[in-house]
Amino acid sequence: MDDKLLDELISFLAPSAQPPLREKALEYVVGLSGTEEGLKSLEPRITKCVLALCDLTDDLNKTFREDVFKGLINLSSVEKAASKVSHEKEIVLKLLQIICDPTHTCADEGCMVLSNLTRNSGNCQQILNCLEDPNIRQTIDLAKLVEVFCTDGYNKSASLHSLGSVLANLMQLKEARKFVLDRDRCVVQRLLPYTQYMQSEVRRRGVVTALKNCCFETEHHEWLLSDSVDILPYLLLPLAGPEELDEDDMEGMPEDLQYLDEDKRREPDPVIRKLLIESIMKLCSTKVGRDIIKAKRAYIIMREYDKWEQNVQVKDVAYELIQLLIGDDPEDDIKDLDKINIPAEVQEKFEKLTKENPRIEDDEFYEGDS
Amino acid sequence: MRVGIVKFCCLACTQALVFLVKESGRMLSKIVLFIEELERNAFFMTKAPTEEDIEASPTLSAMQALKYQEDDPEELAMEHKEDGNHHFKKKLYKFAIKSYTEGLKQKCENAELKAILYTNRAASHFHIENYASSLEDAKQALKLKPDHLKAIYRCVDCCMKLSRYSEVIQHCDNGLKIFPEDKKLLEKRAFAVKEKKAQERDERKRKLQEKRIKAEQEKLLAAVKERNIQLRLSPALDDSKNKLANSTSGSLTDDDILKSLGLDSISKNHVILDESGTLNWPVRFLYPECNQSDLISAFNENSRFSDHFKVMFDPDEDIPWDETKAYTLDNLEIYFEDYDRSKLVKFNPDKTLREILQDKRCHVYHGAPSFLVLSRATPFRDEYLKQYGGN
Repeated sequence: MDDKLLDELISFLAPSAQPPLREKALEYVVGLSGTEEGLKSLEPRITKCVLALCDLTDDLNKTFREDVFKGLINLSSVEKAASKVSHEKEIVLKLLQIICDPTHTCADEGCMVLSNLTRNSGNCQQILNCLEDPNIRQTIDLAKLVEVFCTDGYNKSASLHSLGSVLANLMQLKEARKFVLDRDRCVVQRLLPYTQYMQSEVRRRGVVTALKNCCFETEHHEWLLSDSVDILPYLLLPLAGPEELDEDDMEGMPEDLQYLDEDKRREPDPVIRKLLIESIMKLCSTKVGRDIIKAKRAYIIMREYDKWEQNVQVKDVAYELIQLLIGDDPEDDIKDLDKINIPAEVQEKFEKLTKENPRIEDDEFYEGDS
Repeated sequence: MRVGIVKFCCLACTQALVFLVKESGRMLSKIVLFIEELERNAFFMTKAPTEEDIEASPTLSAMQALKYQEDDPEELAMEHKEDGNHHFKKKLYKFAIKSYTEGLKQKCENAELKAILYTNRAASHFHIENYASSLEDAKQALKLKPDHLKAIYRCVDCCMKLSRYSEVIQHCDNGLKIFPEDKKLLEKRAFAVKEKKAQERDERKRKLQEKRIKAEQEKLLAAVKERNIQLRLSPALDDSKNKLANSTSGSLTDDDILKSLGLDSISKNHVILDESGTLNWPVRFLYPECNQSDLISAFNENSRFSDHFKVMFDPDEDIPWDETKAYTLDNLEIYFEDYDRSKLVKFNPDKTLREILQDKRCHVYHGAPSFLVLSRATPFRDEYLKQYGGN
């Protein structure tokens, strides 16, 4: 299809166009956006196309509206379009409003579009700026998004599971993490139970990714592991199985991990399992974190987990964590390190820890996906 | 109001005087009665009237009615609230509840005031440990005034007292929506999360233990059934309650078998299946001659009676109740009772417990097999056997 025709097609998407014509045009654009090739042909005018679709999100016809969102989801997966759209404050605001509207039938689709927009941390900053815009934050801020996400049945026609990946993406930014880890509020605590949300893998993955990103904040480790948050059992429980443990083994273990039912299942998704283990590893990178995690008998859970895990890649990560958990810590009060013979294995551990230690770089963060 | 009361008191006084004049001609005893009546009169009262007093005395009721007569509903509700607060301060919570209830009965449209009345009544209920009522009132208050922090706290505290931790968390979350940095709510939420975890853990533990016990009982049942041991809920045949249990254990329900084995009670003395699959019974030996008995708490079913006798009747040790020294190993005879035929059945003590229990005539009831031991060296034996219907 030549460029001229495409331009014309897009002009038919305008709200002022004849409805039958517009429907046909939409059908065509959605079709194109669904294939690699089609996306490629749309690419030069993708922004224009997305903006045109954004104008149609309020259409009264439900099927039409759903098609509009279908097109938007596909188009926003293209980075160039995502980057452009996230700079459009009005569109971002509109998406946020759709997501927070408890009666909107396309709220889930809205979440997916926003999730696509926030994959890139640069775009995240734009979205965050939007959320902090004094005019917007009165109605919708990050707290509202978390609240919407954590309220069961907030929207009867939308599950809002994909809002989890939006939150995970936003956690790539320190500012967003700062809000979630605000000790004067109850934010991260509300996300924790969803690591066990068996009804939706998307939601679980979003939350676990968000939590992993939070674990990069070493100065919060002690707080995250304290009774105020108690993050550890939420990371360990999905890794725990139905195996009966000795009373001795359970001594000191968080109560949520004790006497698990015999039909207890482990997290079925290997990616989420890996994220969980990596989160615990992050928490082990500080001495205080490591001490607490050791005292809470994480090793016992990981020991049983290791016997069960079949996925080689995940098993490797689990093995690393187990090594960390069973190794002895170097003594604190040794000042003169040159005078001490450091055993090879300890040396190795040190090196590993240094490697693990969080020099926070944005590209280290996981992004959720839609 | 005050003027009204004074006026009314004068009125009461006048009434009393009129009454006095009217009554003056009557009998002295009536005057005595009158004095008692006078003591109940509002004007002469020395103590504050109780709620019951008010109900019993028409004058006091009238005074109360007068107090609340002339104002509009809102002011009346306010009056009741003040009364309630007054009682509350004096820790008279039941009276306070009554006052707040009266206040809520007024057709007052002021949501704020109603919310306060509900919240205060909730507080009163809370103090007399009526947590469910307190919670209901606090919830009502929140309906009228969703940002009423005191009512939110009350909901939280009530659910906490009722150990309904999920609800505590829910109320905290609702409160934190409005007051996101409220320390108390944050703390209580964290506490409730912790308690909830412990509660859930205990529940899981309880279920697991229940399951274990059940599995053990099933194993035991299978072992008992396999041996075809005759179980009874009680020994007597003619006992109508026992009808169901009269037949062989094959036709008893599992529950009846467990009951007959004494496993339904908390008593520790019951048959135990050990790891090797052997039953160990509590066994009772009765010595009718001396009104004595012995209990072996775990008699391995594969042991012989004579093995136990060797220990129980060790020739080197005196048996305190056996004054005639008749109960020696050589003289011992052992019997079980055949309840159906009212007969004693003698058996060889070299037999094992398992062999005897598998005898169709031998019954176990109350979970403990019991056996009679006699000595052939005493005349009592013959007498006893004769008494039993001749063996």
